[in-house]
Amino acid sequence: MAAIVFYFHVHQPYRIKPYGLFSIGEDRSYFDGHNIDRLNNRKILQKVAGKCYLPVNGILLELLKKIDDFKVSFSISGVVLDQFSEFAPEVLDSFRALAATGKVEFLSETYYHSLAFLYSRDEFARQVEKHKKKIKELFGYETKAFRNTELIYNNEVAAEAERLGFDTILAEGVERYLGWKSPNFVYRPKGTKKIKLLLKNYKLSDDIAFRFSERSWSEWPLTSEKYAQWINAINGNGYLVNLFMDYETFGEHQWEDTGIFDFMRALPFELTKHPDNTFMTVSEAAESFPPQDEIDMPDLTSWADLERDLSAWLSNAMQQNAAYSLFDLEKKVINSGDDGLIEDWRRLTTSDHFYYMCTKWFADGDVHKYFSPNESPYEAYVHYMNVLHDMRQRVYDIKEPNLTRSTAHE
Amino acid sequence: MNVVVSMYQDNYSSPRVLMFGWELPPHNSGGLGVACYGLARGLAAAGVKIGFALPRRLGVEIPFLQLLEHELQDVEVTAINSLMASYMGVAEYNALRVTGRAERMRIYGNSLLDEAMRYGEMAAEWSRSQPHDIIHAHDWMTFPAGMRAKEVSGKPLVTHVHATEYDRTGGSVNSDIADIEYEGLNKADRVIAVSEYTKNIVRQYYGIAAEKIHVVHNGVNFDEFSPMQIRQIFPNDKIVLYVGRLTLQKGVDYFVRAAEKVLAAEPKTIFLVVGSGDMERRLIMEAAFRGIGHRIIFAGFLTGEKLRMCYQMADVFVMPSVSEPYGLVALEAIAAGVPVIISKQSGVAETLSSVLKVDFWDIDRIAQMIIEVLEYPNLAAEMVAAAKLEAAQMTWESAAYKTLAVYRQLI
Repeated sequence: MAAIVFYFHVHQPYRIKPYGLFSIGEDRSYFDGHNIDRLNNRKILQKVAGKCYLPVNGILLELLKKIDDFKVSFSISGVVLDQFSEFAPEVLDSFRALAATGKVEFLSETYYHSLAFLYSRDEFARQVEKHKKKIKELFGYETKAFRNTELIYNNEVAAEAERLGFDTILAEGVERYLGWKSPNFVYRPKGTKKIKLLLKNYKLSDDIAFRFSERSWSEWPLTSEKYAQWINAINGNGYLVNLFMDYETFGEHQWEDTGIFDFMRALPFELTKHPDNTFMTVSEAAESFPPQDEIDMPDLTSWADLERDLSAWLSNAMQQNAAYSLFDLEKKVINSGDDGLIEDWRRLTTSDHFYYMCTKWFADGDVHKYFSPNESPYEAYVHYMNVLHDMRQRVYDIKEPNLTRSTAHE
Repeated sequence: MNVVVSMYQDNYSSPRVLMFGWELPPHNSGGLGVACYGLARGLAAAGVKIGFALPRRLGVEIPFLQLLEHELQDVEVTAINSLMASYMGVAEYNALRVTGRAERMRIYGNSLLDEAMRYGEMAAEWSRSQPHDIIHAHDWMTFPAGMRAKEVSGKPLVTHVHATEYDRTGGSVNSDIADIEYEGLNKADRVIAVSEYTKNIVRQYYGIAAEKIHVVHNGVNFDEFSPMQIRQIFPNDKIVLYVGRLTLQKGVDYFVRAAEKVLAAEPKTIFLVVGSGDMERRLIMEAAFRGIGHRIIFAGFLTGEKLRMCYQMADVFVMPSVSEPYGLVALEAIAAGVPVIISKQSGVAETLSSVLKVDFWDIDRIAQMIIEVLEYPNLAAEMVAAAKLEAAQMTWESAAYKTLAVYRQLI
């Protein structure tokens, strides 16, 4: 049999507005770029809600009602949940309606869709805890499975997730570590005792997420019948098919006029035509099958770009300098007890800010450009660093409020 | 008879000058615009009638346009339609021309050099309607215009050197541009250089006789930069300021490397880089690479109030130019009451003694000087007080007076 695991990731960052020298010390609303469309978080969220979240939630709700064993899993970042509350509460309602079917699993992740794991285990744990609480509060759901930001993963991430009490973790099925192993089984991460690992079937996932509308692709146009046959072919070669992708694939990355909605509407019905197919949530899949083998991934991997490593966020000096400078402030910010300051700082841990600073202009550069609201990676870096300057002063103000400076020419 | 005499006297006391420049504030991208503005204003105040022309992209069918929105009192400013922009390089021109619509290909020159020639023709055409006694052209882009106007009217030509191709490129010159400079300097009746430093370059590299070259130092409008109440953006840090285009000529990469050394000793220091240019992205990456990106702020190109605020915030100003014909920014910093460290390879160094002078390549020494000024407020205060006295001599009135003396040799 083949258990099909649909897992969708929902996220929007709080983008930083253009923040120049003269904003430092004066303007603390880093994320309210309402004058510029491409940096206006409210406008972007409402646009994506209209193009993707609302219509696709509608499609899924219908499928969940019509097909008995249809199930899906979601991870929804804390920062997008906050933006739903603030800018489009109807989206939250539509996710609640999905949760109410009882056939939807929610996964844990860092609240801020952050790179915290790489810089601070303490902050990482705090952000995971905060997200877990939020999911419980909004959907009444107790999370059991974990996905790290952008599926950033290695043995240590798995061990840390196990330590935090999770039963299942997700990773990209990176070929250079799988070797002959197939992503269509459940595994045990090296160095762990009970947590189970599900690997993304990146070939089949990316057929939908990236290639669906690509006219130069030999399989274009992709129909639900054809795609269902590819999945059916896995029967006998594996237990599960992990289809992991950004939820924004539907309607935002692949626009409605590509036929992606009709494809998704029809696909589950096509899949049920094969008697051995079934649907499972992430945790059900992990519980249903024993680990086939141990997987050893000592180095960090992710689901981004062709490299499937960290290079989208941390390959150049600007990205590394920005991340270092950010986490350099961690202790002072957290110890300040200033909730506004802590929240602003945490929003800056979001991986997207570092993605905008990426200078890999080759095959993936196009994708980066498409997803970046900034004019250039340099501009993204300069504005980010200016925000950190302002934040550094806020930290300073707290510690030594009456410090004045004397200069030679005053 | 009376009338003729008085006309002659008028002509003598108030020559009419056709002036060809690149740019004027507030639409300037560098010191050349500031200098042209200061000089033209000084001359106008001395009674000189100036018709000022500069290149600007106008509508397709508009050859010339009298500009009304400018700050030059008592001067008529005319824009001549051109795709040239100040400090433009050959590659930038090509990129601009090619990315444009078809009419750009039709109207404007094939290359920057062609365009400078075409601009010269247009300028000569315009000059026919402008009665004048002297033609005054600033830097190479306007030399063809000056030469063509001279051919038309037969009036004497003064070419004014603010920077040579040698300064801009550190020696790897574009020979076409150097050729235009050579021709313009040779055909000129007099050459004005902004410093002895530049006079030497004009003599050495362009073979112009010393007698023909007059040094007229630039001035600074002191009031414009004098201290005022401002908000300290960085109340907890010392500020080291750089102002200038981000190009090879300005040595801004030495500034970034010195910053790294200063920060090792003075971690609570911020390096403020004001300006833009072709090295901007490289510098941003380099600052990050050296792990000091959180201590260097790239503020972009600033003018007016914002630029003044940067001077006011600064604890020390550094001008590490590789080859700087003059260096107005150093005077602006002094006017704002900031101690300055300047490259020995600059024109302004010859007019100031109460500043710290250093070889642009001596990063250790630059860093050491920055630290000294930051650590010893008394030293800084002394430097500022003395430099102010010196810089106060550097007025545009004085520059205009010297320029007028050059004119008088010719008419």
